Amino acid sequence: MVGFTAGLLDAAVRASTVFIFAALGEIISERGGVLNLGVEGMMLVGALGGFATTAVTGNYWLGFLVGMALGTLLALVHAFLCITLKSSQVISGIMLTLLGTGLTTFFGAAWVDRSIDGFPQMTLPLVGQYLVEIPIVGEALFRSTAPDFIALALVPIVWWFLFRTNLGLEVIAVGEDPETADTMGVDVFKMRYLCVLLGGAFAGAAGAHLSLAFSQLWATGMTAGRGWIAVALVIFAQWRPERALVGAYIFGLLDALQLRSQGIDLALDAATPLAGVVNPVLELLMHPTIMSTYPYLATILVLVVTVVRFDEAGLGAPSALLEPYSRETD
Amino acid sequence: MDEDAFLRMSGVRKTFPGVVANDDVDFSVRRGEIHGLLGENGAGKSTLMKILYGLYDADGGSVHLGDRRLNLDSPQDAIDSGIGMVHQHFKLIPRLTVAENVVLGEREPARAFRRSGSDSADSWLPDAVRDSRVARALAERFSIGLDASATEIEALADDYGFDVDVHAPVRELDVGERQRVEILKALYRDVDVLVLDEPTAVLTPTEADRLFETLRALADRGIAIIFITHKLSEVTAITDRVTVLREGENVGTVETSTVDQADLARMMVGREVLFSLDRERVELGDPVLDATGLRADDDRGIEALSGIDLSVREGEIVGIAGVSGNGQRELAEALAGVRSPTAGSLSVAGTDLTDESTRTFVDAGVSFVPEDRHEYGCAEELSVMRNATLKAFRDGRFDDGPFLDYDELTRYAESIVDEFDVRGVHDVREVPAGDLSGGNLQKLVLGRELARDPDLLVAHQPTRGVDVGAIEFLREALLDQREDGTGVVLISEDLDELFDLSDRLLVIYEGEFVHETTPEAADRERVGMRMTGGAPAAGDEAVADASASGAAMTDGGETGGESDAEAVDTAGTEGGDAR
Repeated sequence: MVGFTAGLLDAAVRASTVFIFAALGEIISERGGVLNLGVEGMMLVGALGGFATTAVTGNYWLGFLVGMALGTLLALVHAFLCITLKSSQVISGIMLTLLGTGLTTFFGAAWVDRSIDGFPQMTLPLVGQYLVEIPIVGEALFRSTAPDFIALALVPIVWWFLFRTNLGLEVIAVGEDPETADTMGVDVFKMRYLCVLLGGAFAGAAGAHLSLAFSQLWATGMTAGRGWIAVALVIFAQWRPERALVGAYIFGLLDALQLRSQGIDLALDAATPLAGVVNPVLELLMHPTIMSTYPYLATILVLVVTVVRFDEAGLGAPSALLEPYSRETD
Repeated sequence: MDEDAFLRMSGVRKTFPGVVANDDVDFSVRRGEIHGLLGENGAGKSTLMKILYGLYDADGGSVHLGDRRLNLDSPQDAIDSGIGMVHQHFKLIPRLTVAENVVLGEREPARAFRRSGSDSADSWLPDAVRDSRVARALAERFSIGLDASATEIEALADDYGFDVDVHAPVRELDVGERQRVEILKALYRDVDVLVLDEPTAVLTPTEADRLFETLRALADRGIAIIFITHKLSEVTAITDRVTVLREGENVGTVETSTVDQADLARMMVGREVLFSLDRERVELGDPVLDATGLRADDDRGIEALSGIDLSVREGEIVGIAGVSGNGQRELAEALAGVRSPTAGSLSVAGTDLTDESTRTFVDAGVSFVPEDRHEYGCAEELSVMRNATLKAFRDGRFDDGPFLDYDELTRYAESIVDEFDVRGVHDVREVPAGDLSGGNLQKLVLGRELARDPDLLVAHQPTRGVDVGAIEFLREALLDQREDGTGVVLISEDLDELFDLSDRLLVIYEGEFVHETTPEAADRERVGMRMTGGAPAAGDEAVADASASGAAMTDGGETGGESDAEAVDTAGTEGGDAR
């Protein structure tokens, strides 16, 4: 049981990294007032780009950077469409997801059977060798790949950036009330571009992590909707990085649980009353295919609960989210 | 041009599609003066100031401050030049604190990085680091000097007698406090010129007085103050000089002490303005509205109307006075069929309309001018034409087989725009209603409602926030409609307006009518007092006729008695509101 739990936690932490990257990026983008529904597409190009680069050069760090760059490139399109041309953020985002999916399916065909040596497992520098010894959680928290540690480090960094720096204050202002920010001398366009591009970079990193560290292979559509879950996570997190971490862990756990459930035998002893009814239900609930829906069901549940509990203002949504900004009204 | 002038705007020109907002305008202000900028809605005052503040690009002309010609491409340029602006709709972010709002855009680095040599000279960082440009650039972006700034802001606030908690989120502040934060924003940046855009629109009379004191103090310190307003009383109260704009042109600059309100009104509108209207005697006809025992809840589910009895006859204007928040909105909406009453009955021209849909009310000849012309009076994104025909398009005469005859609709809209003097519309099909200035939008809304020749018109604050010329027009329109036989319910906070227009006058307080009188018989002091719940002296009440229920009057008296002490206190300040 202990071994199972430790293994489960380890898997959960590793599975959560994707969500951390993607959700943090989306938080930055939305705090700036721009919804990015292209996360899934940006993750895919990041994954393929990172994988291909690593396969060709053998350098996974280079692959990781290329993945981020590709995500940023796609985000540049989104930024141009939404900020400069003031088009619908929803349409642009979905278009980029379709584009990313299509591009990576097409170009990725050649890379499907390849294998690479991606990021190796490592212990956290300096302190890791001691902390790893902690029972149950030690391995999970302190022995991972480099991107996992980077993602964790990014949580306090993004928090500090948003809430303890001038740039962060301007980001928040621009997402709440761009007209006010403009009259205060803040460059609204520049700040929104920055937010969207950062969001793309983080999404690219999320994808690159998937193909270089989490599973070290490329498969068509390997993000499997995690980008969409990340968008929902941002709402669950109420646009705060530290809460996004909690959400990421929850979804990481669900992801990990699904893979490991085959090892658990949850049936009741046949002699117990109602065993005849309960056992088939349990078997159904533990069926791998059914379990694979749990992250998505959880997403729906999380969204419903969060939105029902709060009205829009209490939720903490940036007030100017989805609204393009232009100075002169004529 | 004025030699003493500190700020000089010369030959400023700005056009929008179809309208010249500023037509070769010269405008100058001296140091230490409070200079009023007066004009109707749409005269070009806001446009001129937005050019000054870098929000708009002028098509022609120049701006000089002292000897320097200014390049105003963005608000940052204006801020850098020492120009500050307090906007009519506050530019504050409710979620952020006062300090954060004030400091936004200044990029103050953390205390440790403050430039060596200033009073925060002790820092653990070596001078070389602090003075290095790279380090400063990084610190300005990636740190924030909120605590040091907060102290400075508090000192400033003390200096001017503002009482404000710099760490409070702005959403917790009331309107007067928020305006002081707006002023602090300008003071923090050490402005030489301060522009205030209709600052008293949201203030109570007491708060407005405090503001005037503050402005005088600022002017005494040498700041040039520009005070945009369309209220004549304010111009005479506080300005040293005043410039009047009319239809994009500068009509003249005068010393305030040499003119009176009538002169200013004439300059603003270009002709004599009637300040009080002649109400002709009209034969009253059949009842168009009969409401008994009306009760209704507000949006939060709390009872806002507690038993209203009201009847209105053809050719009668019934004025309802009251301080905002005593059930007026719910009453207006219930009478117009927009809000379902929780009890009671309502009939229009003999037909029982209790609990019917809004559409039924509209078809029964009820017209409604709501309080908020932007939110509820029009569809801002839609064209003037569509707004003008919103309630009329189902009329048979606009049918073209199964389609709508858009040409006919356009003609209808144009006739409303013509008849009701709606300005700023070069093409009814193209101009969105939201682009119209306050007075013109209000004329459009009233025009739409009156063009249907209603039996009953419910008008809620029809002239609020509207300039003098348009106010005169709107009130004349209401009187004309009354002569045509429409029954009008006029809900307003403006006692002058109610006294001018009403045949009967009711006072609403906490959801009930507590007083009934006529403009001829009324005592304004008593009306003002009843508006704030003050108790009448025994036997002083004007005789109520059948339309105000006896129960309501007694209740009003009882509540009045309980809250006597408070009423006496509030009557002092609120009496000002009643004016």
